[in-house]
Amino acid sequence: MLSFIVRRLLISIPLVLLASVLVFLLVANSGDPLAELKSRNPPVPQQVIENREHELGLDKPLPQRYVTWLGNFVQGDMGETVRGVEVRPLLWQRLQITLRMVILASIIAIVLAIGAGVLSAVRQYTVTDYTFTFAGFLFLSMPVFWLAALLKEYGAIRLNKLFGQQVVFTVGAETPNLTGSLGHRLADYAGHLFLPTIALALISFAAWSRYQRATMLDVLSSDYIRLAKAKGLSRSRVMTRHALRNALIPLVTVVAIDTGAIFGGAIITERVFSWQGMGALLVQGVETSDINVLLSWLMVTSVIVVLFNLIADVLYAVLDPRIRYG
Amino acid sequence: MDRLRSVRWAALLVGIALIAAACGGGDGGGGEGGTAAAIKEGGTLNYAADQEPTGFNENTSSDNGTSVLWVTINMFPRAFHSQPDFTVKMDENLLESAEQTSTDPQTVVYKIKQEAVWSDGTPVSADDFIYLWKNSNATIKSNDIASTTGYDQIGSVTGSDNGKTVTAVFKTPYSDWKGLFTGILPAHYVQKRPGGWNDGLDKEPEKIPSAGPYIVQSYTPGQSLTLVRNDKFWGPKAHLDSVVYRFLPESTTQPAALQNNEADLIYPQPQLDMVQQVQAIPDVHSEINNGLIFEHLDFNFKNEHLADVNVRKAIATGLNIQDLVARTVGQFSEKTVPLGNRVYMNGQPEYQDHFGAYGKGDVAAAQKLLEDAGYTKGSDGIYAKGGKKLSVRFSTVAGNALRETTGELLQAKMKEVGVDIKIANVDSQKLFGEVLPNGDYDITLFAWVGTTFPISSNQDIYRTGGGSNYGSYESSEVDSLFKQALGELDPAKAAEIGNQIDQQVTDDMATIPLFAKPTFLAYRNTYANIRDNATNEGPFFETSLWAQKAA
Repeated sequence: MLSFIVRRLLISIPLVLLASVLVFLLVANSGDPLAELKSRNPPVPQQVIENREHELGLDKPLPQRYVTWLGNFVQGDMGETVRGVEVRPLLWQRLQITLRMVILASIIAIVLAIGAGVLSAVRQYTVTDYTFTFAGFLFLSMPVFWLAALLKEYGAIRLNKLFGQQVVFTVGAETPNLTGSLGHRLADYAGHLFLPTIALALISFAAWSRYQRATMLDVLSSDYIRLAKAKGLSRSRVMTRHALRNALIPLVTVVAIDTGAIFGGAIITERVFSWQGMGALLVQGVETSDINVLLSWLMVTSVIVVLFNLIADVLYAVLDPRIRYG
Repeated sequence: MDRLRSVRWAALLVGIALIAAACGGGDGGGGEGGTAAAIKEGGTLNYAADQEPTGFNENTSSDNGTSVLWVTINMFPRAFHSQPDFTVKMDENLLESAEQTSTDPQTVVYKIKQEAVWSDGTPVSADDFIYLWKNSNATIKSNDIASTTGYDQIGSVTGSDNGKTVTAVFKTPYSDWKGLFTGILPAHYVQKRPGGWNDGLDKEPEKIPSAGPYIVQSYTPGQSLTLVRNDKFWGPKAHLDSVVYRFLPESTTQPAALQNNEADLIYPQPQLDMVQQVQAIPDVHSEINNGLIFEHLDFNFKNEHLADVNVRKAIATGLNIQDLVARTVGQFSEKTVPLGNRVYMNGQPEYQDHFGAYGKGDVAAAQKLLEDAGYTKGSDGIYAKGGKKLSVRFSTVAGNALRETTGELLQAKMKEVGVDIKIANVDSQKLFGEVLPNGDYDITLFAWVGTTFPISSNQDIYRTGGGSNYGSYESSEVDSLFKQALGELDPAKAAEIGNQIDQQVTDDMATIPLFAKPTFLAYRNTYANIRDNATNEGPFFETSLWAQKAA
């Protein structure tokens, strides 16, 4: 197993390097980061523009810029934004905010999706199946901003009125200048986390549960399940050891790739709940053609996606010994 | 507010008193307004800010948007403040007096209050005035400056009386002198900061000395900025302990935040849905007022059709501005009416309607103008001249519903007249960064931001070769009138010339003024003393008066 992981890790290195070249070329050619500065009216003195170009390294040839950038990036220096703010702490702060939202939402979505998918498959064409199918398609087709509006009205404003105090919040990841006991702070974090987590979880659940139902149905109709039943194995053993374990393999791939992508920021979810996470950072970076922000963002998310693919591979191997030994 | 950083904001804190007397009163809302009420000391107000400050030196072009001003106005004093009625008033906390003591050469003497002191104990002095002047008069070539207008006309700024008297002597007369010395920086601090004028204030804002009622306590980029009462402020102490600017860039999140007690005050650009949503919230006072930002259509004189004044006048004649207002901002603001002047806004004492003959949707008159100009109507209903169809592009900000609707209404009306309008909208960055500066449009729609100093602020838009004269309008008469107005030290005479400028621009039909965009202020009615100010200072011009109502 260890050699399997090491092999996968080694394959990831050139993959990330290739990604860095593509990312750099993409960003370097995506627009002039000083376009806004240059188009100001009255015009900004030429010297100011030249100073900024120098600070951002734009006055150097592209290959040299790439080597310098990569060298700095590997050492943890992500440079500064066009506004002169250090990118690394900014990115780290945004990643933490996104992590807070994504981890919990993903766990909830996975649990719900597996549960709903399996139940739907086992009780195909029953009320349970129809109910989960309806819920799945409902959340699949519901725009997140609309879901957010409903959640804010019924999950926050009315709920708070019911409690007679501020329990659930509609914007931000925490209350500004938060002080007080650990319990108080945790309650505040939870209150802010509640709605975006539900929104994100329901959306992910919708797609994943459909996937789980389909693969479970596929497995349940396979010969080895029939054989297991014929051998007289208990229903629970057939379902868990034989059916579910195999039915999880495709879902693992989907969940790993989706979760890796969500780490890049659930852009709309962050926007409607005013969370300043990775998604918001990307939008700001694009709006201002901020090369260092975009480069760092793309590289970090590339690494995360590669990492999650690796995790998917490992989980595959855990679930299916044929892959491990193949 | 998409042109926040346009030219004129800070640059031009020069001359006008625009729009209708910031008409108070509320269009809706559940509670009482900001009238006198029993108050209690202390507490916090959470303001849901659309935009995060880009920096802290409002005098640079990088930072001269309202997102910065609405924070720094609480820290950096200004000689004169723009008032809700679009007049200007001396900052009585900062100055004993500010008087023009001579007209030849024009000399202005500012007397700073003896007790005026930065929060680090350094006196506010002539050094601060001199620093601002030297860094804004275009002599330091590496400086990023919002506007040199006025500062470049000053020959000397000197201090006396232990630094508490400042004397500014102008090289050439400058009528909008009250618009100078805004955003006075702590020279002793900025000079020592790495990055100095351009970037010295960008980092560690909590260390920036304040000479206003508040000082920055903390700043978490992307989340919030907190101002706390400046205990060293010598003027009346702020009633609130703190004001928190929560950054909520998605303005649609603001009503729910207000309703859920996460925000206490919002000041977004109004949209119909948002206004209705906020007006339905109990215990929230809201008001819509006439603003200083006005929408207008600009013609590009380089277009072969639009180079003809009759074509421009035909479009202005055929357009129904009243109908356009009713179908856009009129849906939530009854106060908004067609604008008849580009220099002075309706409601301002100097305002004269120069556009009354146009914008009534008179299709027949518009067609006659085109026919007089040698155009003939084709079988498709579109006029043409010399075999060339009267077809022009219309460009505005894609995604801005109000402007897109305006473009569609223009297109429909012009089709009746016989002018083919092709909509070519682009995103905001492209419009302001490329399309306008390159003059790559035929007709465009965007907003200019009026100020309380209209002459100097409008000069760059209408004078030949002006940096904001995107349509390449040229008029020697207008150029000459601007020079006269800026050198005219009698405000009444300067206003008269200002109106002559607008009349000439109308006669040449360089642009079509449409309407001033309303402002929208809403706050929980547990607060008192909050007043809208439609100038660029916003309601933040008197933050120190904001207070919680007594129970």
